[in-house]
Amino acid sequence: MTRVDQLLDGYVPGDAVSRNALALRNQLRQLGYESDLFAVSDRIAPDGRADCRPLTDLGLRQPDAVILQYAIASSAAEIWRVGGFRRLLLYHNITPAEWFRPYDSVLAAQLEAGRRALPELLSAAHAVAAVSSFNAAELRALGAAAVRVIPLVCATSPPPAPDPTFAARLGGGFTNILHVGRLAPNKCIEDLIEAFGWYSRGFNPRSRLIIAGSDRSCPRYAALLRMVIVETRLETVWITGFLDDRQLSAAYATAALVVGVSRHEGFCAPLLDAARAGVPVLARAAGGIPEAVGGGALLFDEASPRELAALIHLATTDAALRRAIAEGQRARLAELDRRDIGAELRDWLTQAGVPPPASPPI
Amino acid sequence: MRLIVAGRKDEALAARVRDLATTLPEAASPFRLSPEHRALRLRMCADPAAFDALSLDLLRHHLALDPRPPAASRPQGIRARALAILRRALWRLLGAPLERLALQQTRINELLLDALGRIARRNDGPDRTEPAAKP
Repeated sequence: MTRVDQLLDGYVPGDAVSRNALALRNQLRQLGYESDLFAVSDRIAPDGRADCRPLTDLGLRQPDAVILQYAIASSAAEIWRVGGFRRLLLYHNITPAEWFRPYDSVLAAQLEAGRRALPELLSAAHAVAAVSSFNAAELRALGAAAVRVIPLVCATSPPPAPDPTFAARLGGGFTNILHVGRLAPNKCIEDLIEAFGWYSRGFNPRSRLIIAGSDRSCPRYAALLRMVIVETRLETVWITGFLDDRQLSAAYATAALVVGVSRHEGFCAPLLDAARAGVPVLARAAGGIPEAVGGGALLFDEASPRELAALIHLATTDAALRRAIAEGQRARLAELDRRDIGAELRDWLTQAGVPPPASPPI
Repeated sequence: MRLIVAGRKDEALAARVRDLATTLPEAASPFRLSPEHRALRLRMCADPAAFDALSLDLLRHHLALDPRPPAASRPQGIRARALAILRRALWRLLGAPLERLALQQTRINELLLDALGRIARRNDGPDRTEPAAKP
C-alpha cells in the first residue's frame, strides 16, 4: 500500500497548521493511502498524541512520500530534506522575524533560519504548494517554478456544538467583539484594544472585547497586552487563553463581530471559521487575508483607533452592512465547499511522482 | 482609509466612518498616561533585555490600586437600575476597608517590584526564553 505521511514542527490541536495536517491526513486515507502525522516529540501537545506520532517513528514506516507542512525552521524540515522518499512541500508562510525581536530572540532567530532554509527546501522538493496565492508569490520570488495553491482544508469544516457553560459566561446582554488567534506581535492586538477603548467609552459601554487564543507562544507580547489593558482601565477586555473547539464555538455563537487587525497573515483561518459560524468579520486587508475571506468581510487598509472604533460601531449596528457582509460570507463558503480537495491532492501527488494507492478509495 | 465591503470598494462608507470618528469626544480616549509612560513603547525595544528593563520601569506607574467605584454604565431596565443602585450603596459602605486593603496591596506591589528589579539586575545576561509554541 502506498504511504504518504506528513511532517510538522509541532502539533497542537486547534492550531491552523495542525488542523490542516489532520484534515489532509483524513483526506489521504479516504483516497486509499496509508497516512500519519509526525512532529518533533517534545512539541506535540499532550492532547494531540492520539493523532500525531513522534518524529523518531517516521523511519519505521518507510513512507513513499512525505508532505512537509512548513512554517518555521525545525529538525523536521532537515529530516524531510534528506529523506529517501518523494518530498512535497506545503508552505504556510513564516512570520518575519522583525515582529518578534523585542520579545523573543530565540524565536526570532528560528524564524530567520526558517526563511534562510527555504531555497534549499524548494530545490529538494518534488512538488511545492502554498495555502494561499500570497504565500505562493513568496515562493515564486525565490525561484520556485510550479507552485500550486491548496487553501487550508480546515476552513471547510462545520463548527462543533457550543459549550453551554462557556456561552453562559459570555452572555449578560453585552455586545461581544471577538478576536481569535494566538497572541503574537504581528497580530497587533494592542491596536484593537485601543480602538475598543474608544468604542466602549464613545459608542457602547455594554460591550466586551474577548481575545481568544494561546498566550504561550510569545509571553512578553502577552504581558504587553495585559499592561495595555491595565493602563486603559478597560474592565470588559478578557484574554481567555487557549480555547478548545466547543468553547471557541461558544465564543463565535455569542459574538456580534469578529475583528482581525493583523499586519501579517499567510491565510487566517479564524476569519473563515467566523463566517462558518455566521458572525460578520471586520479585518485589515493584510497579507493573505483578502484572498482567504474573498468577499466575506468588511476590509480596511489603514484606520486610526477612532476610525476603527467607528467601524466596529457600524459593523455591529448597521443592518444593511451586516447583511452585505453575510452575503459575501455565504458566497465565499459556497466557493470553498465546491472544492474537490481529493482531486487537488491526487493531482499534487501525481505531480510529485507518488504512486497511486494500491487499494481503492474508501 | 479604504474600505472593501463584500469584495467592492465603498467610498461612501469610508466617508461615513471618518465623520463618525470625529464625533468621538477626547474624553473617550482609553489612555490616561502620557505617551512616554505607555506600554506601547515596549514595541520599540531592540531586544528582550531592553523589553524587560523598560517593562519594570513602566510597571511603577501601575503599582497603586484604585479603590474608587467603577465608571457608571447606563443600566437598562428597572431590575438593572435597582441592581446598580444597590451596588453603589454597597461600594460606599465598603469604602473605608477597601481603601485600607488597596493601600496594603499597593505597598506589597512596591516591595515586589523592587525585588524583581534587584533580581533582574543580578541576572542581567543573555535572554534565555525558549519558545513555548510554534509562532
